[in-house]
Amino acid sequence: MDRNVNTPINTSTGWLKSIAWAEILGNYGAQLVFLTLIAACALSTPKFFSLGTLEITLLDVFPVMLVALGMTLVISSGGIDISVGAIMAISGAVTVALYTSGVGWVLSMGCGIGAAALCGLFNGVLISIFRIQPIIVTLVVMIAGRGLARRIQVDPTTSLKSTPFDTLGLYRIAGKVPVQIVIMLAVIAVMLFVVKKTVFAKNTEAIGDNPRAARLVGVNTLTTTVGVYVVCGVLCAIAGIMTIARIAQLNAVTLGGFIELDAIAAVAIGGTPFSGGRARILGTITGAIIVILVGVIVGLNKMPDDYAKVFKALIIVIAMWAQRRK
Amino acid sequence: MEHYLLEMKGIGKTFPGVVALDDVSLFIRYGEVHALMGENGAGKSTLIKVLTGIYPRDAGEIRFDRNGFSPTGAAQVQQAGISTIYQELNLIPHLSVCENIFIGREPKTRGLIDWKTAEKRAKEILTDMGLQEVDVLGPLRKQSVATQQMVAIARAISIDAKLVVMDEPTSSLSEKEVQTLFRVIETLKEQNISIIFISHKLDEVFEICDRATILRDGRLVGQYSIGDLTKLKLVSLMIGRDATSVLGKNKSVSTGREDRQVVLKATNLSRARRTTEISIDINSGEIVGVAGLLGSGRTELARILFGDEMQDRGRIEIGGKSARMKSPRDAIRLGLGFCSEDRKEEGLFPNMSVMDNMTMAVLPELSKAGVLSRRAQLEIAQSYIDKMGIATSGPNQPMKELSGGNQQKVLLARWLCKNPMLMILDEPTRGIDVGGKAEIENLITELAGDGVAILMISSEMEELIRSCDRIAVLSEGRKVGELAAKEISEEHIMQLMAHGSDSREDVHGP
Ligand SMILES: Nc1ncnc2c1ncn2[C@@H]1O[C@H](COP(=O)(O)OP(=O)(O)OP(=O)(O)O)[C@@H](O)[C@H]1O
Ligand SMILES: [Mg+2]
Repeated sequence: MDRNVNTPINTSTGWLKSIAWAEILGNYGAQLVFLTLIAACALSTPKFFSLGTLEITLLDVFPVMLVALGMTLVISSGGIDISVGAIMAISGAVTVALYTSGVGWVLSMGCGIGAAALCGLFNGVLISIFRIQPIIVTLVVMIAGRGLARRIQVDPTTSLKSTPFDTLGLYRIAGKVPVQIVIMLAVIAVMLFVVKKTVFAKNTEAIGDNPRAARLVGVNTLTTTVGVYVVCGVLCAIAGIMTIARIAQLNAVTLGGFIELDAIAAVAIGGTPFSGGRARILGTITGAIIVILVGVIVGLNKMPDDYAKVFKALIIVIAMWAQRRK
Repeated sequence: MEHYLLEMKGIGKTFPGVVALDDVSLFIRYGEVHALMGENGAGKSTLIKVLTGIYPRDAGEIRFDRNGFSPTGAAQVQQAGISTIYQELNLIPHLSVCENIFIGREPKTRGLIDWKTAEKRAKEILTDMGLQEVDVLGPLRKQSVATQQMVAIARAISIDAKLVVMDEPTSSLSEKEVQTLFRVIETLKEQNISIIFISHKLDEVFEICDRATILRDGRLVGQYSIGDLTKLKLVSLMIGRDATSVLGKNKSVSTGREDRQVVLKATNLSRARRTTEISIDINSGEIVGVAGLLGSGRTELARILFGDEMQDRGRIEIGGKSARMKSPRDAIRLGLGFCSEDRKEEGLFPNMSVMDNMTMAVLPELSKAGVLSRRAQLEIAQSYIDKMGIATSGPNQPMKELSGGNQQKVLLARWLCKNPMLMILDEPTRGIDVGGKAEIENLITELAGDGVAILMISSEMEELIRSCDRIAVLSEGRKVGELAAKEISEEHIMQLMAHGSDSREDVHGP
């Protein structure tokens, strides 16, 4: 059929004016904010580009990064998971409770991760089979999970000094690179692969974009949804366990507190649409770093932490504005 | 100088990488029905969206009722006196029929919404349109696409307007509803209300329209009086070359259909009160049509056969074996495919790419251990984009940016590339232009020639008559008859439909 194929248009100044800026802002909004922030950091703190600052920032980013990556998948499926912090606490509490009662540290960690996966399974099943709103299901887990974590942990604070966890938390690969950074890079690589290359991610996006149509093209909505929340749960567990290892201490009340907000903010800044249908991993990575950088800048300039919250809110608004055309 | 109700002059609209409209003009007189014609992707819907301010225009001028017009919101458009039915209906599925008709302008008493009055008025409007059976308080999503389309029309005409824009209002309607709509249009005309009418069905255009504006590739071809046009001339202007070959549609001759086997055999299917004791069998290489009026249960039959709804009674055999399908997934595994009539709710993944939309059902085949071969995906997408002449800037373009007809082609390609044993097509050519329609009918015949069994539902009787080897006629959830190739004619089908309701009355009558 020789029919109308869209005529590509020539580059002209008019074209540049009307489209290029909106496009760039929409696609790279997060990256632009990121660069601006880096510049702000460099200007406000002379020692910013030292290896030490970089390392501390990356270590701070670690838990938010992992949780935000899981959250990206969840949001691309059209859902949301506000139980991430509670799941971190549960996995931490299970791990430590088992370890202090004499179970080996590796097995304890395995069980901690397993507990988180179970929480994810619970979320996924309720959302997919019983069709309860994701925010309600995960709210339930958020409330109950936090309480459960406190019950599992008998002491309000358990010190893990001089345990294998302590060693793990401070371990440096080849004596140089903190293990957290390596884990973080590995998780990012896996997530990039999953989102770009697997049928699972396509099915996830399809469910997010149009659940009814997804069912009619044969997507297994149950296993996909469950898979999404389990992956998110497991990432929370890794974040939780590595956090308690790093500070050699467990406090089930504060572990992962309010992390859902930072994670959701990171996803929003990264440009993953909340209506589902698209997962933007690279955006989330930048988003997570931005969320933490704001705190770092505020800290470095000796301002009260409350300002960090205001700045974060401001950046979310800017990011949303930049992406409003999508 | 003549005064027009609407003057759009030199309109230009560019999307990233595509010129959708270039120097297009449209003049609408008071009290006329004006056709806006053009192939899929010609820019018709875009022009409408520029008029209603959904897309800001890059160039041009609009005057409405002698005033400059640059609307920025739906309320402003409505206030000016323009009422629009968009191609992708913008109704709200979970609200009731009544709420959908009155949303944004609910009748009020003392500041509170007066639902009693709203309900009564909704009933009146729908009864006027021959839809007295519709439950105005039930959620809209329970209604068929055709009824939803009628509700959208009801909403549009009950707004006090000077101009009613209808972007493919009849794409899901059958003859009877179309006639109702035309009656409504005549009454509007008498009140000096103008109508912009978009349709790919030429007969409708010649029946109801006074003048036509033709677009091609985003450019204006011209403005004509319908009286000066013939079908051939109209289509030639639309496609920009002689249309004799496009319009010369003969009854397709199927070949290689000697050794037919029963692919699907359904016996006495019943579900709730809407499907009663339907039996049907479909052989390989055969195109079986399903005809019926609005609400006759055609789509529900398709859903049951595809495992989307479970029958209460009756059995389905596929390939000689009893099949218990709990979900469409099971049906797909048994070799079935289903292209729904409801593009927006049941077909499109608007934010995903054309390529992903097209290959969604074949992803399992294109992957090893869950890892996708992007190359294979791209190959399939590119080949169907070429084969079906889909107007898109490339396989990675988001689906929501395609024109309605081109989206429909992508959804058809989704099942064509899956190569199923039995394909259920519910209104397969919905929204597709004249040329594309013939191509798709050919494609379907070809498919049958390769041994695929096809169940085709269509509200366009001519389409069924042209393509089908057999036609089952449904009426009020029952099968009232089946016509073999030699008996197929419009007359016979109509007779069966009419007779069907008669015999039912005999059974239940007083
Ligand atoms: N939001 C958008 N972004 C990019 N391109 C678009 C967008 N909307 C429409 N287009 C392009 O503009 C062209 C005109 O589309 P339009 O929807 O106006 O066609 P149409 O004449 O209504 O066709 P149909 O008969 O298929 O409905 C198409 O090539 C389409 O791909
Ligand atoms: Mg259109």
